[in-house]
Amino acid sequence: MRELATGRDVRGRIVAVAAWGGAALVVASFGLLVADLARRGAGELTWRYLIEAPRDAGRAGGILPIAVATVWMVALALAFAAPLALATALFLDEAGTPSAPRALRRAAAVTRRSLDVLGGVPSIVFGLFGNALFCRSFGWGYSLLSGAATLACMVLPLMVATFDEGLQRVPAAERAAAAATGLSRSATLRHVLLPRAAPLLLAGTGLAVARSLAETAALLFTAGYADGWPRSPLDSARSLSVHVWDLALNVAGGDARACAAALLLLLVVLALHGAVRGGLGWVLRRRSRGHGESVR
Amino acid sequence: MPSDTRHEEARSQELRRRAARRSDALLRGASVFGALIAAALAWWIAAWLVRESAPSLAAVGIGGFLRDARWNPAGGEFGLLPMVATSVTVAVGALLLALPLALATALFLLGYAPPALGSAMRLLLDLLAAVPSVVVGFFGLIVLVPWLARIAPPGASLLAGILVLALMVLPTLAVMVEAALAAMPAAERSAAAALGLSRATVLLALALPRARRGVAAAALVALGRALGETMAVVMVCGNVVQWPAGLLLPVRTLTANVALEMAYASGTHRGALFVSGLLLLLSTAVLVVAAAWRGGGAANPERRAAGAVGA
Amino acid sequence: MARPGGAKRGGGGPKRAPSGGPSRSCVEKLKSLADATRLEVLHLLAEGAKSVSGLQERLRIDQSLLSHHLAVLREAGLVRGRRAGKSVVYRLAEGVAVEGASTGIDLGCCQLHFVKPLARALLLLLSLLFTLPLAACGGDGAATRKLTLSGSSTMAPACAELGKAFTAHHPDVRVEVQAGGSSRGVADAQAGLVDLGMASRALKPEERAAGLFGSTLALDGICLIVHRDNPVTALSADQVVAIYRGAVRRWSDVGGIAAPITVVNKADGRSTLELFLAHFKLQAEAVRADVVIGDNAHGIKTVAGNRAAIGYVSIGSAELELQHGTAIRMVALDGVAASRDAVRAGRFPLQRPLTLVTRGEPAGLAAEFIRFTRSPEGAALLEAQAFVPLLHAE
Repeated sequence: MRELATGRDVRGRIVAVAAWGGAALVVASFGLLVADLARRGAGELTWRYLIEAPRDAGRAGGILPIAVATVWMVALALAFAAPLALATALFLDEAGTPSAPRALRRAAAVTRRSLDVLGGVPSIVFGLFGNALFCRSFGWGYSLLSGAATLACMVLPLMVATFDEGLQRVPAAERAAAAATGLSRSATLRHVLLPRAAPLLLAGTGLAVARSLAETAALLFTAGYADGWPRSPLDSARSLSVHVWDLALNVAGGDARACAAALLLLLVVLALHGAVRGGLGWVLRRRSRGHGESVR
Repeated sequence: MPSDTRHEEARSQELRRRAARRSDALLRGASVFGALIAAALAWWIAAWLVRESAPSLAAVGIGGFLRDARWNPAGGEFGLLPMVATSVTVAVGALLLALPLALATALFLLGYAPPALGSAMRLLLDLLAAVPSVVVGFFGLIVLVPWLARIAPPGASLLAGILVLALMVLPTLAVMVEAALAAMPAAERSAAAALGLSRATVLLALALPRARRGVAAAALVALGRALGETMAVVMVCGNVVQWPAGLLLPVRTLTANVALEMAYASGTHRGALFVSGLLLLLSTAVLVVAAAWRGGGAANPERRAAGAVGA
Repeated sequence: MARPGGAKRGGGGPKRAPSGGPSRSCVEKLKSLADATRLEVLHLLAEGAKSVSGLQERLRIDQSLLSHHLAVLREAGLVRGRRAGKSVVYRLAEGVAVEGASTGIDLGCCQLHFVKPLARALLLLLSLLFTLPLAACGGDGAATRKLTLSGSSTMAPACAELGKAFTAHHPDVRVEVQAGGSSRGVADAQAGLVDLGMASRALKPEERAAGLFGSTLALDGICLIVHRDNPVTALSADQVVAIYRGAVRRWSDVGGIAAPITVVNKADGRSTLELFLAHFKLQAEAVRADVVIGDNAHGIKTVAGNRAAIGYVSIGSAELELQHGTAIRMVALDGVAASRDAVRAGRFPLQRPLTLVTRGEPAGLAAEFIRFTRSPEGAALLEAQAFVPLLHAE
């Protein structure tokens, strides 16, 4: 008995050490990264940095026009991708059910696989493709629009996956109830499916925004390099990540500013996280209040 | 008159039904249209890559890309194999480093972390996943590579690439592995608790074997991500075209090659770069399909992450 | 916000226009303030007198550029300089007074009030929310002209700064700069995709034969750099060739530290690489490199992180990095120390013109822009980016 106990104890202890050790290593690496960025760039993150325009090739001044351009690019990308993702998810929802005809189920499977492959395309290929399609063929040139459209292609698989998962979570009982009361498909969508899927819809959008903010190579080839105020979606403007790249690898003496911009990106993602969490909480609270169920 | 009101009711009901049918048809049309575009994108990109690489494929021939000893476009040599080997080695190396750590992290989150620490850890993983590759690469360039250069010059090497890539694929891998491990039926969980099994036993003996498929799928997805990474490897790998025969040798991946040379290439050289792009697309496609097959359906990494989010 | 005619001081002056509206000198003063840096200088001087170095520290711009701005402000009668020992101290001129805790400045003819940063941020945010969508819908193609440039990443930051200053003079013009490399710049100029191509080299004969025209923007040099801890300060051409060919493998052979040399080379296609190889009569395949890099700063960081590394970069980039304390040292080539002055005097052996490429002779907006780059203000901006403007070359 004792050996068994000791045996389990030793193994348990090893696993515990491994688990805590591994986690600690991960935290340490991340901590090292952030600490180094902060050491070099935190001093540059001032109020004025947020509200001024860049001067001296980005080594002085701030990042306001770049931040605005980034916001616009991400917003446009979502505007392109979200409806498309929702439409695709709805198709998969309907066509993926066992009761659907064979052909439709095959189409759904093919769609899923194609989206998975799309998700694996390297970002540099997206950059080249976006340049050829949006900048040249569509004639948009280097512009916010080209960048946003390319971003939309890149985040589409992600959004479809989460939207699809969200729709799949809708309990069959509720769908049956909707069908029994003769609700049309669009009404079912509005009153049953969307509210139920809302948490994952929100999460998917959050993931898409985070992914868009991190993208560099693709945007360099499509939205371009200009660091001024974009006056229209057809103007070229750089995103924050492209600015980090420029200051880190191209502009001499831009280290501190590159780190500052990188820190800002991380802070934005942190805030985004909080926003999504808060949004999720609000959605779940609203639902529980409305339907008298317990919050899950 | 009663019959009139009945007529009114019937008429308005009919109108409503027709409106519902119209909106349903519109919805159906929109969803099919959307799915069509979404599905077509991957094929469109593949077709475009094929079109751009076709002239070079014809000129150099697949054999040429495989047999040429060196990559020297100016001299008409387009040997891709050393870079292919590098891409594979860096990606596999990163996976070998990241997977145990991801496993450890997942075990930590599932079995050992107090709730507050657990959510802090999850937040940290999400943040780490959102760090742009250019930032991780920059960190590698100004901290990791100099440190390695002191121990073993030149510093920019296969090892640096593996370390940096491991850091990049770790967060998503950890989330996916955790989701796979957590997918244990409640009945089994309560049975284990009733038997008084230790945490380690439950996790290792019960959850892990069951999660093998999910973990394998996660690994394949991470491999795909590592293969496609560009900015970070350009900064830390050294970019010398040679076989990855040693951890400390400077090497160049396929993606770094495209990033460095695309703007300056024309003609057959440019086509050759598109050939390497096509090669990358094909390999990630194979990995993704394999991951789907192994993981049984939901192979998309974000789908798995979504599973974790909802829970 | 300036409120001309809001609160007129005293009766009137000999310079005031008979109608009682803003005088000519008022217009001149406001014109001289129509620059972000000069306005900033005024704001800083409102806090109190400052030395030039103090101003430079706060503004973080190049000395020569600051001098230029101070000269403009001096001529407009807004500031006054006084020598105090080795430095010059600037203060607001007599006719200019400070109001209310340095938030307002009375220029004599009108008053300026600086809005607090937070309030300004809120105002900006609100105006953004409303103006950007309007701008998008407006499609203001008629009112604005676009000048597009693409090409060398070495020149891109400098041209972007020149573009911003150009827009300050011509508010209806928008200058867009794209990177992509010298060959992209030349190709785009040839194809008519951009107004000006940026090439960090002279045009090749076949490019000129194809109808392309090059206007020199500035001069730059390519110098070798080593780590600061490496005692090597000068190398001969033969030594450089031997190092890059792999014939000389250890630093001790050329008077450096005891370590094997890490050779840093540029990736294929870059004009810096081509010029380097041409100057030293090296074949591309003959170079035995340990690290291959893409852009200037990448190379500089690689050398700064490795005591045994040697690389070659634009002198401008190297000087800028040295100003920020990066751990590199520029190496003298064939007895000539590497510096902007050497390039300016034409003494440095490895020099290159930074060229703006047009299809045919430059005309219209492109010509105006080139003219601007050759003006004193353009020259000051180029000096700030550590290049040698044509104006200052010998």
